Amino acid sequence: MFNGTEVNVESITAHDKGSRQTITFGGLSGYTIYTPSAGYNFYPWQGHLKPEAITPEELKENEDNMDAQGPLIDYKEKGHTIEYVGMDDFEGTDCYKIKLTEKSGKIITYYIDPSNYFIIHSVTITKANGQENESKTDYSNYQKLPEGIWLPMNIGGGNTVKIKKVEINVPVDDSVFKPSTN
Amino acid sequence: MRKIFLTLLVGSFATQIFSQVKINSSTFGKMEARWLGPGTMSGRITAIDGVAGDGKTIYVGTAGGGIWKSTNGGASFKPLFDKYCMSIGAIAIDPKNPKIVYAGTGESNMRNTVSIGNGMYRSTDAGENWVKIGLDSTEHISKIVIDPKNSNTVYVAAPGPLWSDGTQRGLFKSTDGGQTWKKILYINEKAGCADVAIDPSNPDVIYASTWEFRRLPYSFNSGGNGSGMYKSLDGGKTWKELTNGLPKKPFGRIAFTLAPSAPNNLVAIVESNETGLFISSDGGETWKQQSATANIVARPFYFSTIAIDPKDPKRVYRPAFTFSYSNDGGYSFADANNDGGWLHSDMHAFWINPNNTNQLYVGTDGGVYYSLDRGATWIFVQSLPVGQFYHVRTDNAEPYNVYGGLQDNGSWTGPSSSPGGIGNNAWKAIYGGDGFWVQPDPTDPNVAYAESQGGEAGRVNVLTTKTVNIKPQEVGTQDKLRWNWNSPIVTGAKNKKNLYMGAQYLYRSTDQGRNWQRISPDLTTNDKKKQQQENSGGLSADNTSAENHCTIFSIAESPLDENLVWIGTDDGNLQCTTDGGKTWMNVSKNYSAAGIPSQTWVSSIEPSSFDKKTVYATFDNHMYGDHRTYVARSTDLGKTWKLFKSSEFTGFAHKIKEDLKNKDLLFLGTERGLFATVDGGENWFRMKNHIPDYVMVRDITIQPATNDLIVATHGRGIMIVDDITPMRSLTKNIVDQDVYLFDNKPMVVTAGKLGGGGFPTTGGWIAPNAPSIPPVQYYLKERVSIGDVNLEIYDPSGKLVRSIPGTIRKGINKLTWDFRMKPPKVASGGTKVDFGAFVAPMVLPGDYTVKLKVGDKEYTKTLKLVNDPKDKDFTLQDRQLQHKTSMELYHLHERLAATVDSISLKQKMLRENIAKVKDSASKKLLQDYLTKLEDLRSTLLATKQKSIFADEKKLREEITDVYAAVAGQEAPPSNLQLQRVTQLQEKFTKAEETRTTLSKQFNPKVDVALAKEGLPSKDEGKPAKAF
Repeated sequence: MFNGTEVNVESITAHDKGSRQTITFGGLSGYTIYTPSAGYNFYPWQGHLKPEAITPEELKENEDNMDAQGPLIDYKEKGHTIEYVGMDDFEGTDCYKIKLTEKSGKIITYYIDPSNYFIIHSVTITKANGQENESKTDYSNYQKLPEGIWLPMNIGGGNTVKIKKVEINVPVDDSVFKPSTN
Repeated sequence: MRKIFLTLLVGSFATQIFSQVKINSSTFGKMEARWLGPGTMSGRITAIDGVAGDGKTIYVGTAGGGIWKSTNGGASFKPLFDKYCMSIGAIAIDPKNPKIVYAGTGESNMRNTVSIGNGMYRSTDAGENWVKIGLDSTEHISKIVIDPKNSNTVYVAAPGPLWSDGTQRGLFKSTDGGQTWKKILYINEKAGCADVAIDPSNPDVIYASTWEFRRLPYSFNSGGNGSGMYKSLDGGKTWKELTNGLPKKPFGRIAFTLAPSAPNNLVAIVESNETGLFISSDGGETWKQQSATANIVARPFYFSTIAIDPKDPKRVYRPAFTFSYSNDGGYSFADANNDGGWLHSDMHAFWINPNNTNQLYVGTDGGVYYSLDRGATWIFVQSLPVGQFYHVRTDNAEPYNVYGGLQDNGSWTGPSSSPGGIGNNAWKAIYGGDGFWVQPDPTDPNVAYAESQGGEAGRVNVLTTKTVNIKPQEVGTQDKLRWNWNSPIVTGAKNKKNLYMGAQYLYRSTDQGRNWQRISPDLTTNDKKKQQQENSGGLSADNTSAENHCTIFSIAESPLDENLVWIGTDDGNLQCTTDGGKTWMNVSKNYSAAGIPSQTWVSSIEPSSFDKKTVYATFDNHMYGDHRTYVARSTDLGKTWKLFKSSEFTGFAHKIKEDLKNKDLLFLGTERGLFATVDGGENWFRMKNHIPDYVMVRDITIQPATNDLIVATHGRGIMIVDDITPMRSLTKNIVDQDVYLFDNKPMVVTAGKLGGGGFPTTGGWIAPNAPSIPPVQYYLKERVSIGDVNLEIYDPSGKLVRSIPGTIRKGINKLTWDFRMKPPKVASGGTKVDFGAFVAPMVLPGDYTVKLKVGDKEYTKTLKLVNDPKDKDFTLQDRQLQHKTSMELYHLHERLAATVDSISLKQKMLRENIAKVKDSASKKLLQDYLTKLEDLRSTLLATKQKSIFADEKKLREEITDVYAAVAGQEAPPSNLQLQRVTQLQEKFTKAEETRTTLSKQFNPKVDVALAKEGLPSKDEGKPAKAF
């Protein structure tokens, strides 16, 4: 939501093959695509006339975007490390704080509510163009999918993304990971 | 779909039973403080270290604001230490691994107001997380040095406690990265370690200076035989004292440094009976005195920083009262110029980028500066909101202004809200010196009373800042007047015309300080032994009024009776008069009976506004080495006292504040935290509502019109918790409910009280404004993680006008509805974002309903919206016309969107079939239709714009132009705006006619052509997507 305006987001992840997030608002659509070999941003509202290639450094930093399982599952095999850094308050809830350092160097600190073990907040530190950036995300409205997986249907980082529908293990056409302007 | 959350979510959930909800800061959820700063004067800086490898990662330690980190050389900072002690003495980054950072708490600039630390901390992730690693009772740490060749070896210089003797001082060494410590240099219970340096070429060579010092509440001593200069050749196992060429002992504080590129070269400033600058070129074995200006050797106890360029052994820096530098090894010095602006005096921290020695950072009593020319000129860092306020007051303006005085930074006023946010430039300096009390005159909005140290008070015209001296003078055979460093100036709580000042006598003026009346005898103990400030300082005389004693420190007139006035002194007297000063009653023995030591500073007094006989007071005994929290209440005019107790309390107490509306709601500010109770002092909790856990709180006030809690911190500027009404009304019944939606007071429909400020600020600290629209408030007993939370607004007819995603945090939640509907659906496609999609019309006044949906449960309250009766420029009729016009344009957008959608669907069908039809005539027919539709579509919205700087305006954009203007402002539409609406409606009608004509012309033929080839011609389905 932006001033009450709805922004539509469609997100597709094929595990270790690619991810695409399509954003539509104000009559325009754009996307971010990651694949193991290339990535693109196309944001017409920012003046992009064609897809802009993502730098190799940024691609490496964001390779976890293609990890449909999330980096915590089999983190060791994926080359990540995890450290418990104690309890910390998030919005009045005293949480377990877990620091994940990904193989790429990206650091994500998760805040886990001890009453239900939900991740309720994360802080991600990434490096882009040589500069460290910090982004914060909240997770809520957890729902259990028919497959037995609990997912947060609301994901917020300033504005809240409300997930309407989740489909798992559906075929994905590789063409969605190819950049286009129409 | 994404993903990352899968791991932790499987499993059963513990069923939680909440029988009784304990009220604490999380109960008040979103009731969070705004940090006003400002950054314009900043505050005292005590430590700076930087990452040599990148030259842009800087850690700044402050006297009372914790640690701040910049990763961009100082353009912006973030606080890193808000859960720990706010007073920082030293910071050191491991040169081999810059992720490892040590922090020593408790600054060592041993002024009268210096705070107290609680040991050493270590971070292994560049400051994100910290672990306490010992030396807890050292109270003050002046330097941390890490062996450049072995990161596990760390030295910590601890001067130790200032206000008491003790063994918890000296030079400490760890050989396991801070896990364990060994005291390797110790003199006696009065002398600690002031400075330490390590020879980078041979880390077994250590230099250290010891320092004997002590403060009493009424004097300071720097110097004694415990002070000395020492050297070890074996990593601190054995030491020898360096004396050859140094002056005769006793010494005071010694600041010294060595040249990293030629480590046998040392310079030292040795405080003694003949304080001087000394140079050694043989590793301290022999010393030679150099001539030095007053700045080089001034106030050694307060200016203990000296440094040599890492690459150039001849370049010596002495940041002190001013900034001096030498190019010849310390034989001569020059001072920094003011070409880059004034460089604040009183310097305590310094860092040279070893990889670019032109780049320097210095920490002063007024913030951080950096230099790019080896210290000749300096640039101020404007984004550190670490001011050390002593007191705060507010006026009655809308928005109200705050007033306060700061350590070495004068007296200031600034707004509680300002267009575009409260930037540094919104603040105004109104009085010089160190600042303390600033009292706006409640009867005259142009006047405030301000002071500098020792009672130098002025009546200030706030507009012009012209001042008139109003300090009461001693007359006749009176004793010399004794004014505290932080002398009280207080206006009457009952009679707003009364103005009080206290020396050892209490003075009252009823004409803005033009004439004064003494209304008391000497109210202090008048102990002559505590009045020998001329002898204060030790080896270096230091008599700045900071040690003045046997003075009045707090004054309070009862809000219920102007004849009932309380005063507290710095030597333990607490007295009151019930007859306007004719007679006085000393109740100090009575509070002692409650367990509060006598002789304490009576740091604040709060006569109740509900009951004349009730009074609260805080007592500060830290100057006798006692850090306990003393806060008490009497309900019989001081005859008996109840000492409040809580396991939550930390730090000596500065301020007790009673709420204006709820007598059971109290706030307490201490040296280590802000506390509150909602049950009259039975249970206290630490307020952590976006407030550092151990923030130093010196003063608290409540603005009566807005119900804001305003906190003066001594290191984090001013903090405001907007509208504490929920703290007053949160009953036991409410907190035990899972969800509670509060009643809404009638709200004035408004787009806000302030504009956006016109242009973005170019830097510095910017504080957010108070919300100018009252929020809808609800309480959640626990965070809602399962199920959605939404707030829905229904208009008087019952129609849903807006749905707002709810916040889900535990405690009070605040959601602001901007009185606007959902924006229109605008025509999609084209080549630019249409901002019409972001503008929604404001609703009209009336009786609305708010519905809070939490999971499958609903909670409903009414919400009455009214037009602002005070706004003559925008009457209810104006608003109705604006609304009607906005809605006409809103509907025009939606109609246009439907037309464009219809065209786009048809075009999609044509495109798909053009490729499929085989007959060339049919193909041409479809192509012609497609072209005609595109010709029409391109008149309806921008389809060709290739750059955000090449503006293309078609019907959609034209509608938005006038729609955004009319709906986005609070004014009736102009005559031309109204005419323009008609014109655009006509334009749309013509377009729609064209579309109908084309349909009639082409659709039957296209249907036939497609049918011939067996292709479907329907274009229903989901709307075509632009991409």
